[in-house]
Amino acid sequence: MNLTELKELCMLPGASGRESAVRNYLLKELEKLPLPDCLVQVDRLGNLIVQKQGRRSDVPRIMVAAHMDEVAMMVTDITADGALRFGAVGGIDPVAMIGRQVRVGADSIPGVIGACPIHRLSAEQRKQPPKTDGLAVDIGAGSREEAEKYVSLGDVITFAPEFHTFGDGKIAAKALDDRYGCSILLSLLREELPCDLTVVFTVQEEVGLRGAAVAANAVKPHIAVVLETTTAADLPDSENPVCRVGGGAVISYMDGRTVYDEDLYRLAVSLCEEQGIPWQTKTKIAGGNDAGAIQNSGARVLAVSAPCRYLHSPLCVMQESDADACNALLHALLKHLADHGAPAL
Amino acid sequence: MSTQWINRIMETAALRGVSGREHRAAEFLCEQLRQFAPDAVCRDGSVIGHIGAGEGKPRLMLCAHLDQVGFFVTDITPEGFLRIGAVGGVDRRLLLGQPVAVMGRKGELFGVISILPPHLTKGDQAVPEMEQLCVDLGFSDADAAKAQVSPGDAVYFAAQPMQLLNGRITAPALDNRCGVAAVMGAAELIAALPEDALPCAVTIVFSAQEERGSRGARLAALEECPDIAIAVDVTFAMSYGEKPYGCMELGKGPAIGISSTLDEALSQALICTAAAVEIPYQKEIMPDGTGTDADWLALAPGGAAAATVSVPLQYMHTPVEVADCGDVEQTAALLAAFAGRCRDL
Repeated sequence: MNLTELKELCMLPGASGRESAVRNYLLKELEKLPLPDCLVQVDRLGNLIVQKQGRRSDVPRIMVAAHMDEVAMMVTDITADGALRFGAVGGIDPVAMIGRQVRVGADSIPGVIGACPIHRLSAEQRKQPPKTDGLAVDIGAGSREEAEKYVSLGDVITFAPEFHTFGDGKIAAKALDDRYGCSILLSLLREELPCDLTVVFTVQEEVGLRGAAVAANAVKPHIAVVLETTTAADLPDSENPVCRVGGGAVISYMDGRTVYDEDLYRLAVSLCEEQGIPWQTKTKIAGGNDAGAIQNSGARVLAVSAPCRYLHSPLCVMQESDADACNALLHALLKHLADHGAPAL
Repeated sequence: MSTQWINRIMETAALRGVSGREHRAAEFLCEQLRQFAPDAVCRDGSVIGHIGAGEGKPRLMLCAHLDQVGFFVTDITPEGFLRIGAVGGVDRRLLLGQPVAVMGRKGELFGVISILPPHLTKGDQAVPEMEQLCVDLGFSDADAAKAQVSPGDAVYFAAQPMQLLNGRITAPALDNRCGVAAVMGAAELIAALPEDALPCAVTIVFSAQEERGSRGARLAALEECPDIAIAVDVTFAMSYGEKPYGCMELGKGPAIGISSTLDEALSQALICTAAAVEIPYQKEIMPDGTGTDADWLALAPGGAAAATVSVPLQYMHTPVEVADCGDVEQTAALLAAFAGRCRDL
């Protein structure tokens, strides 16, 4: 895992539908590479599609995908006092919004989402979980007129960027979902590949798997592997941990959107067993990712995910070794598909 | 608004000093105060220093509490997470997912208060009790955590101080580092007055444990026997969602308190001083006591005339408190101006 690059990717603002900073970073990195065998395209939704030649071309059409967008918020109203009301872009619990630092708009204006002091709330009110309606971003403006010099309706609000390494090889950062996936795929594109491959950095995953739907219909892959983060609830009081941070690459057989291809699932598991790549599966059918859309283009789909705590909050936590395991599995899959073709149905 | 003031306040806000564990903050502030009050010492977590000779002059105390709300580690789980308990009135609505700093044996450790993602909670999270929370230090077992952390270690909000528009800043612990910065600023101004221009003997106190019953202020009052005592704290400033009354405003200057427990003539004298030297001020009406060190300073031997001069603050007791640096500067100016005019009331 290239931590420097992962940090740079995580620190960028990239709300769904506003992924340009992330896309431009990736484009700039791709430009640096001597890649005459590479075709780089951006479609009208903003998906970044890279077709790269490998050692073999006589293979099923393979697509690997990671999404560039992160959950965020958007300014819906500027009050007379200069406060910014907002709505969520993607699924964020207001509990994860209240009392945080944020950045607003293209100029990353610093702000906070405050809370009425508890001293001024009744005992009943203190027990009420926050609602998005009751929250606003404060950038320090004293009036609407002043606020409008710096921000506008429709400006994106992202969590203030942070990146920490801590504990026993763990990472806490904004937007690990799914900049970790983007980071792995960027590194992959710098290597010589065993077979032709289409790498897609998708848009708008968090608001309905929308970029993936368009990209898959254009690429028409036979096989697609989605590189994602998936929710780990391995906490002390948890009834069901779902999967464990530090437990290895998560290979899913099913989630809320997709029943994954059985042969691809078993292939991934056996490659891990053979090659000593730590792996696990989820003990709960929950969540969803771009595979949910890609499968509807006709592709056989698989998800290889890094277990990640605190998804859709300002700081996700993952284990670096899990990312390495996902990377190793991805390489093993590509090599196998290049050598043996698609697993028999 | 000078950069120097902004930096001074941000530096003061970054000090670590939860109630009962103020020594680091106290040592730093004591060192700083010695520039103006050369006899300044640390005592029981408080800092006390004197400016101007005492004989026959009224004794004026300026008191700002230096402790902040925070947490203590109460337990370490078998999985290596921490359990925490609150010190002072912490807002539990916004704790989930917050970054924290744990003062371990070998230094500060980064951690995150665990949160379940919306995929699993279906947006249904009640405000947690403290016992339901745990802190993720990124360790995988209790031994790793116990090597660095013990029950009784202090835990702080990790949000970094940040500037907003209009000379406003955000940081945890602006309650009461704004008050501390104002009193330090006043000490500097007072120390610069020629000896014969100072009609009172000034005691500067940075008091410990205000958030837990004002132990520092009570002891200082007993030891120093002030005639006049001004508590310099923060007070509520209007923000989004607040009731539209009963609150001060950011940027309108220090709030002078009027209360049943405060000396009526002293409140008036402060108002007159502000008017005379053209410092903007607000009146803060607190019918039933102030809830600050002032209520205890008034109970000095023989009684003391007590007052509050407070810095308006938004989002009190959250990691994203917001204050106006201009208000802090004006508060310092008002205190110094009053000291220069102070006679027996």
